[in-house]
Order: sequence, then structure tokens, then C-alpha cells
Amino acid sequence: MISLILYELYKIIKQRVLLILILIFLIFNVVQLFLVRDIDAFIGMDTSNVFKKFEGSVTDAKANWVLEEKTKYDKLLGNDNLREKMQKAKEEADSLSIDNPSEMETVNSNDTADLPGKYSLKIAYDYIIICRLDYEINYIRNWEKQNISLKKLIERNIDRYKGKPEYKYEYLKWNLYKNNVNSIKSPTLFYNTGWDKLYKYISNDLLVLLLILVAFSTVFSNEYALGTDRIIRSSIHGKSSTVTAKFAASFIYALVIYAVFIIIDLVFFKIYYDMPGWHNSLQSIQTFSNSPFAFSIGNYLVILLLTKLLGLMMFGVIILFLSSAFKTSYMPLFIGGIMILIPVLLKSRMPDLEINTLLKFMPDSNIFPQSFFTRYDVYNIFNIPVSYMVICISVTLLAAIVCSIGTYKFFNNAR
Amino acid sequence: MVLTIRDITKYYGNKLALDSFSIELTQGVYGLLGPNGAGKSTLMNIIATLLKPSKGMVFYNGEEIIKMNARYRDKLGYLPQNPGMYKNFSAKRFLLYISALKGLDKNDAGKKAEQLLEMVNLKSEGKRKIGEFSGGMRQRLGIAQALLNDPEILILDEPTAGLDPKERIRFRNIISEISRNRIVILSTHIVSDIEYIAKKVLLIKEGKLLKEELPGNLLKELEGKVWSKLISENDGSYAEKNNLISNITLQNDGTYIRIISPDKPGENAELQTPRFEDIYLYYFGEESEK
Repeated sequence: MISLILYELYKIIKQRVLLILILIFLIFNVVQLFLVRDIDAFIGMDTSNVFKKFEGSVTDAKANWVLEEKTKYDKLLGNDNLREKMQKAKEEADSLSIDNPSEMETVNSNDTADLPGKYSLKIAYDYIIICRLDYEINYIRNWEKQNISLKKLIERNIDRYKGKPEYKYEYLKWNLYKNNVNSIKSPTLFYNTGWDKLYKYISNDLLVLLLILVAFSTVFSNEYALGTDRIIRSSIHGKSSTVTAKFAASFIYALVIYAVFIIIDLVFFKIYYDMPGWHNSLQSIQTFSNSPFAFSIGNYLVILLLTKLLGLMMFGVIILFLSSAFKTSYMPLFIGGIMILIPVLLKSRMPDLEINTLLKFMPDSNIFPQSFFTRYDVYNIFNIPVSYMVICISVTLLAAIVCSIGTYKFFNNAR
Repeated sequence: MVLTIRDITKYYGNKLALDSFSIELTQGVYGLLGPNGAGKSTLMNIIATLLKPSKGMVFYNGEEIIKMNARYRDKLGYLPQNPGMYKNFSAKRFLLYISALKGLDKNDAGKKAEQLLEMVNLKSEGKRKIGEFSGGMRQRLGIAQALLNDPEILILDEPTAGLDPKERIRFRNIISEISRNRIVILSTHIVSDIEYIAKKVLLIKEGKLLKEELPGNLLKELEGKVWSKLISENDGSYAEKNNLISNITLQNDGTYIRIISPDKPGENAELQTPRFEDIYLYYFGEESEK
């Protein structure tokens, strides 16, 4: 079996078109990663080091200090004309035309006697950093207030539905919510831009998906196109064993490609952002403010990567099935592309369409899984609250199982 | 070893491809002769377990091949019509891959591959990519892969299609060499493929087994039915008559035609010794014209 798997892997990776695509996508990925680098550090804003001084839970002392500094800067830069000039100076710095922004680009204030002398661009950057700190502190404080309100709301609803059999689902739903929410730790203040960008980047990444789609489309259909399937299927291991070997080889290929791209992503983000605070609660990142999961940021990374990998593999199984059903690779490629493209386009461009309720459970949701973790989303399945993620994964898993069985049948009985 | 084909019928939709085909095969070369669309490949595919018959069964040594499953395929060597191969595989790698499919031990596979490459005269081409091979080389590689597991049943579906005469002769010699202790079924519509090597000829027409006969007996049946006749330039009516013409030769004294006819087709017709081509024309002449 190992020999068969290795030969099947060889068949996949020896496709010239695929090798070229892998190379192009790797280069494209690196270029994309360059574009998500830490602009702050690149233009000389010392955001991460400033945040380091304030890391941890939000205290009154921190909040008051930041507020005082912000007020000072607001007063200092209260002149609208000057503020515009500062903004323009920052925009010019952002266009990467400045080597050492702290020394260049000065702004004169002749408009008010309260603003003595010249102001370097560093003041603008410091002001921006203070504003961000203030923003994060306000976010965390608001989160804490909202969390208290949420807990009260949950308790009220639990009391409302307690002891009422006709509301069994609602009672269970709020209880489940309560268990989740009670486990969540308060958000922590730290420089989380890197994590936020990383999660968005990984969650929306299409490149690995396309490489899987292209490779898997050919796994069976190439055998039909070449006519090698007749020789294969007339041999002792040419039926079920060959299908198993093809599945195994395809998964190995997908895993390696996925790992390579993810490792490159993580290395780049580590270099750009250092990525501190992996032990902090997921809710420290605003995208996940409503997440009902008590994950740490680091835990979430692992879960996200595994969920995405599972989604890609299950989608891959569906493509393998299509490959076994068609004599050319164009149809699996086309159908696979449609399966991903249409739900993604409809959900993003026409979110209010009724059909999006069903499209939520299509395989693409497993491949771009961030929405599983951003809010409490459960459905009534026989009066039991089942999370959106569980339903989505189950539907795709079921489809994958059916497709696996179908693949064996199609290939073993192909004419 | 006995391969029993019992009442095999195959429909493709409404089209009847095989009609109650029955035969018992033992060691030796069987030539399956018939025109295009006669059902030869369908029969081959059924024997090779690539197709399920609509009716009927195939038995090997008394056991149904469907039930034998992988055990039967272990005894099978199959060269399909226009065999596909991976262009970016070398010849040896391809044989090693097929060896893995046939369950050969890794160490044995390497030796066997070398032996077979030598047997089919491809030893020096072992490292070359199949994409660079000629049609004849591919066919030879095809026969090599079919022999990897030393099969008891060897199925060759139109193995010489597209080969030049030299390649065909080479191929025939290989088949003769390997046909000992095996059931070899060779389907073709090229009579010279089986003329000299077939133990028995199976004539198949419109899905039916027309005849199962020794080559010599088939030729004997045509004795007294093959004629040579000189025709004049003006005599253009032969194409219209119900005579089967197997050859037209332009000679100094005129045009000679070789006719297959139970009756003497004219005064100047001379009896000829039947050839295998005449058998094909006699049985399938109208079918071929269709």
C-alpha cells in the first residue's frame, strides 16, 4: 500500500501545470505577505513598544494616564489647520517616501500662540499611538460592561424558560450560552494588530484551496483520459486499494501544501509583528468581541488551522468524487470552483438573500471558518441547541462520506 | 486451467453487444477474429472484470470470477486496446508501478521488470520517458506490464493496431514464446496476427460466436471456394455482383481478381489455395463493407 501511495503522490506532483501553479502561488503569497507587514514599524511608529508598557489588564491608573496624554495632545493639536497638516504629513510618510520620519517633515504652527516652535512627525505618531491605546482601553472597558449586561440577560432568560417543557430548547440554549460566557476571561491590553491581521489572512486565504482543487480534479479523471484505468482496474490491487491509495496520496499532498503555506505565513507574521500575547483571551481582538468561546489567542490559532484543514480535506473528498465521475478534469474543476465561488459571492455581495440561509452550510464555510467563532450561533435540532460550526462540519462530513463511498463505486465500476 | 464463458450477454442501453456468448478455453492461444463492433472488446472487458455482463457468467476452474474478485485478477494479465501510459514515467518506473498494483514484492519487481524489458527488446530504453516512445515501443511495454505477474490468463485486445509489419512480426513472436502454460486470448481484425500462432480461432459477428475452429479446418472449409479470374478492362460489373473480392492484381496480361464464391465465377476462373484473409472476407465480407 505504501508503494501505491507513493506512486499516486508521484503522479500528482509530476504534473507540470501544478508545479508551475505552486511556484506562482508561493511567490504571490510572499508578495501578499509583504503587503500585510506592520506599517507602523515600517514607517517608524513605535506602537508595539509603547503598547508593551501598558500590557495586561486595564487598570484605572493606565486608563487615566492615557486619557490625560490624549487630552494634552488634543489641546496641543487642537488647531484644525495644523491637524490637517499633521495628517498630510503622515500620509506622505505612509507612501514610503521618508527614510527617517522622526527627523524629517516638520510642521510649523503660526496659527496659535499656544503651540510653540516646530513639531516633528513623531508627535503625530505619538498622538496616533495614544489614540489607539485609548481606543483599546475603551473597547476593553465597554466589553467588560457589556459582558456584565450579557450575563444578566442570560440569567433573566434562563429564569424565564426554566421549568417550562415547551421552551426546553430556549432553556438549553441560554444555559449553554451561560456556560460558555462564564468561562471567558476578560480581554487584555496588548499590541494585537498582528494576530488580527493573521487571522483575517489565514481565514480568507484562497491559494491552498485552488492548489487542492487543481490537483484533486485530475486524480481519477486523468486515468480515464489516458486509458490507464483499464490496466489498473484489471490488477489485484487495482480497485479498492488504488482508490484508498489515491485518497491517501491526495491528503498527503494537501497536508504538505497547507503546511508549507501556513509555515511561511507564520514566519512572516512572527518577523513583522513578533506576535506577543498568544496566551491572552481571544476576545482581546475586537473581531472576536462577541465570540462565545473561552479560547486563548494561541489556542484559537491551532483550532482555526485544524478547522480550516478539515474543511479543505472534506472539500477535497468531494472533488475526488467528481474526478471519479468524469472523464476529464475540467468538470470537477468547474463544479468545485462553482461550489466555492457562488456562496462566497452571494454571501458577500447580496447578504440579504433567503438562499444565504442554506448557503451558510456549504463547504466554503468550513474552508473560511472564522464565522464559526465570532458569535454565538446555534440552531434547534430536535430541541437541542447545536452550534453552527457543528452543523456545518457535520453536513460537509456527511457529504464527504457519501462522496467517498461514491468514489469507490464509480472507479471500481467505471466503463 | 479452464476459463468457461457461459451465456454472456451484454446490452449497452438497447444495443446488444454480446448475445449468449459461450465457450470453454484451455491453455494456448485463441484468436478472436471479427470486424469492428463485433463485440470483441466487450468480451475482453468482461473477462478482465472491467465490465459486468447483463446476463451470464464467467468461471475460472469452476469458480465464478466475480466471486473470486482479487484472486482472479491476480491471475490475469491484460493489455487493453490503445493502452494508456504516463508520459512522464520512465518505462521501468511504469513497470514498477504496475508491479505494485499487481502485488509483487519490491525486490522481485525490479528483477522482473528488467527481465521483461529485455524480453520485449526495451532494455536500453528503461530510463527513457514513455512520452518519447513510438507506438510499437508502447505496445511492447504494454505486453511487458501484462506479463509482470506471470498470469495464467493473458488478454490482448487488438495488440497490433497501429504497428508496422516488422513490429507485428516481433509481437507475434513474443506471443508465441509466452503462450506456453497460459490461456491467451488475442482479439484482432488483422488475420496475420493469429494465422500462425492461434491454437483455435473464434469468429465473432454481431455479438455472437459464429465459429470455434482450428485454423487449418477453417482453411479447409474454403477449399473449392477461392478463385482467381482474369477480367477485361471493360468488365466493370464485378463490384455489382454477389461475389466477394479479396484481391485485385494488375498484371501484364490484365487484371486478376481473387474471388470467394461457392460456385465457379466464370469459365476462366481458376481455383486457388485459401488464405486466412479469405476466411475473414468469407465470414465478414458484408459486415466489413458496412
